[in-house]
Amino acid sequence: MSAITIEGLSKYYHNGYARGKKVLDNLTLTVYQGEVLGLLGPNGAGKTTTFKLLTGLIFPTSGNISIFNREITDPSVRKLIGFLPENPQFHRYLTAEELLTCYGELFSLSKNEIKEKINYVLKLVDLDDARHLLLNKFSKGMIQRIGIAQLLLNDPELLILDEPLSGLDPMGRKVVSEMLLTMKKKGKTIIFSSHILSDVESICDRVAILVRGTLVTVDTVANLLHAFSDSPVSSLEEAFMERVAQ
Amino acid sequence: MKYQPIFSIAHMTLREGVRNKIFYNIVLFGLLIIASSLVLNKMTVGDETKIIKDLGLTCISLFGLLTILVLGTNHLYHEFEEKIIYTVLVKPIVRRHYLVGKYLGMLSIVVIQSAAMYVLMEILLCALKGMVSWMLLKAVYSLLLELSLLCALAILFTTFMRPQLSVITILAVYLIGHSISEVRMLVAEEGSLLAQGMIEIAYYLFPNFDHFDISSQVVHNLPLAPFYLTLVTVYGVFYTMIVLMVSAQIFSRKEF
Amino acid sequence: MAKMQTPPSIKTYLALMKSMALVVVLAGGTYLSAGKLSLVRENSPLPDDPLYLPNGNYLQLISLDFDGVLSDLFWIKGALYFGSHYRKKDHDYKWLAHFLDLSTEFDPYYYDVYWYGSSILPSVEESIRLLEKGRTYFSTDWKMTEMIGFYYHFYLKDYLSAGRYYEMASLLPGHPPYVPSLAGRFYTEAGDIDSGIRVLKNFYDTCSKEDLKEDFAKRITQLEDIKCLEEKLSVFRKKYQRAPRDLSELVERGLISSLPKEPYGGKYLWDSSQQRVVSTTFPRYGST
Repeated sequence: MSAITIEGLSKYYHNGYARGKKVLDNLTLTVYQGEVLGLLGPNGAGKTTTFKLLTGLIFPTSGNISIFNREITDPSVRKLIGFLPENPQFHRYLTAEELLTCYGELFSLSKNEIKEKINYVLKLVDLDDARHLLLNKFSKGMIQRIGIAQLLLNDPELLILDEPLSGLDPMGRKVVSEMLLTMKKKGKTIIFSSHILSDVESICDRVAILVRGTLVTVDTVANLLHAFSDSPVSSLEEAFMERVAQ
Repeated sequence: MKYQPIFSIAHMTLREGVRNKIFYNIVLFGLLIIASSLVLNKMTVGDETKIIKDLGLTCISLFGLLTILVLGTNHLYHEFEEKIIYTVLVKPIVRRHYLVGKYLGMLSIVVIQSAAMYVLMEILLCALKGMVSWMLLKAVYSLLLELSLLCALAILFTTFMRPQLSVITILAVYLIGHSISEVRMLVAEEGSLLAQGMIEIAYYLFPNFDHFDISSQVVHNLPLAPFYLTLVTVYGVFYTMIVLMVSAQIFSRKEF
Repeated sequence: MAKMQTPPSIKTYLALMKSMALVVVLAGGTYLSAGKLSLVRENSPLPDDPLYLPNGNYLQLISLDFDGVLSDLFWIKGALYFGSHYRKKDHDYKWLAHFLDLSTEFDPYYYDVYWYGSSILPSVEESIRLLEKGRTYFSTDWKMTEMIGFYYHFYLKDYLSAGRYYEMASLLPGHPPYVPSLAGRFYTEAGDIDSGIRVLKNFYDTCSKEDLKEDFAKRITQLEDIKCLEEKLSVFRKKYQRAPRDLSELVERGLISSLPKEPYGGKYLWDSSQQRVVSTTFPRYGST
């Protein structure tokens, strides 16, 4: 059973009369339930665009996307998704607790359920003492953590994360990667993008590489590492560089 | 409840708005000006309450507009631009409902602000004349209808314009809306048929804010025409709904 | 399983129909209520809103930086107020002076307000008051001073004041020659020939144009003659306790050697109805 099915997905941006800028070209990709897929690629490859299309923030020029075999706008599907954008920003004049309460209400959870879940996620990301603090007082690390908190609030089956490890100190990265592994163990489906290939190597089952809007490779980590039998590649990094150079 | 998300968003917007320092400054300043009417009172001859009523109603209108401009255009635009909205829209909420929720939130802020000013006015009037004026409440209600329409327009413009442009546009609509009655009268006397036709179209197309202005009747204690408030409510509410529907359409197709 | 492009179903059409219907109802309701509201407003007489703010120094306190704008605002309000009442033909302009006052309080140098405003004010007294205010700021503007004189003479028939104002105007730069001339005339009409002569002589002395000087010389001679004749007349009265039959009696009685020659070719006459000496050339002011 596939979690995400993408077929022939393309995205063009039009600048007035000029020819459109092709950001994503004919992407076809399937993410299976329970697997962790890493989306890699140089800057501008179209990773963030893919996530935005997946979450309905932008609309495709052509092609299809479905999540759990349903349309992405279906509210029942939305209840199963968690999204953490790159460098997330939250309403500055709310407290952590208020933000999560509001999000909980959007999931149509009962008051008690919301309270429970908030307690759980805040403890998980170690922000329990900061629950009554206004978000404009949060440090960058704390913002990232509250991002994870809201990501996990509804205990989603599918987690979508855009550069979750960027800009974090090593401690922060450890926390995030541990969280991802925990979720993986629970059987959740995860798709995320990253530049830190060592982390990708340790967490992901498969890896998809995007270059300039086109999918270049989708394969398991193991296969990529052993791609070139005559010159075994020691790390994903080298494999990545090779693929991208092509 | 199916529409719970709307109220969640409204609640969230309201919370954010009242904590915003700018909002406090605006309200405080408005209250100060109304309070200062006690001083200005000394400089007038005749009905002392007139200046309180006039000044108070003007403050409600102008400061309401100011709040809408600041919170409406800037704040909302901020949400779109700074990706605050990313994590919200991904949740199971229909885009339309999000917009309506935002609108209700903003409207609540304006209502609270106006209510504070109205209460202060009544306190001052009571202190001077010892009675509460129901006509004043009607005038405030009418102004709130005007502000709710302006709020909707602010949201409409913010969905597809930058804040600077939308501020200018709202101000332009505000000015046009207040002067179109007079222009129509002038053109009816002296204009060519083409001009008259164009003005007629503009008259019905642009919001006519003069309809919401019953301050003259209130201040001079004149009676309102029967069903006036009903008509004004219909006009205000229907027009607002149209604007919101258009905004919702644009917002549904907006790409972030 | 791929997502299919679902064909528009009945459900979609129904939803579309519902929204269209809603839009039509809303638009219709808006249009109708707007129309009714306009009618209601046009029919109910609203009092004008003159803004009770008093004149005086307080206004300067509140006006901050916006004097010019406020001045314009009140001028426009005044003009619109005038226009709307003019249209209604109800001759109710009671707040007009107030608007113009406010406008000139904020900008005392707004010439147009004095000039045009005075012409639309309903009463002469108000017009004069406004122009007097303007005069203090436009003290070198002969037109404004002259206009006050005009109001005195034309509407109030107060020739003495008219003469005074015309004389003041004649002392200001740029005035046309008719100003001192009229000053003389009004003074004379008011019975104050001495002032009339003074004004004209003053202008004569300062005038550089020869043909004008000639004209004024004639007028001065005329007035001096009339003055002289009237003096002789009072002597006659004193002596004979009655008015003469005509001016020739003065000659007969030896009070005067001969009747002076009227410089314009007319004759001097005794006008018993007016009880004064007049000339056939300008027998009565107003009938030239």
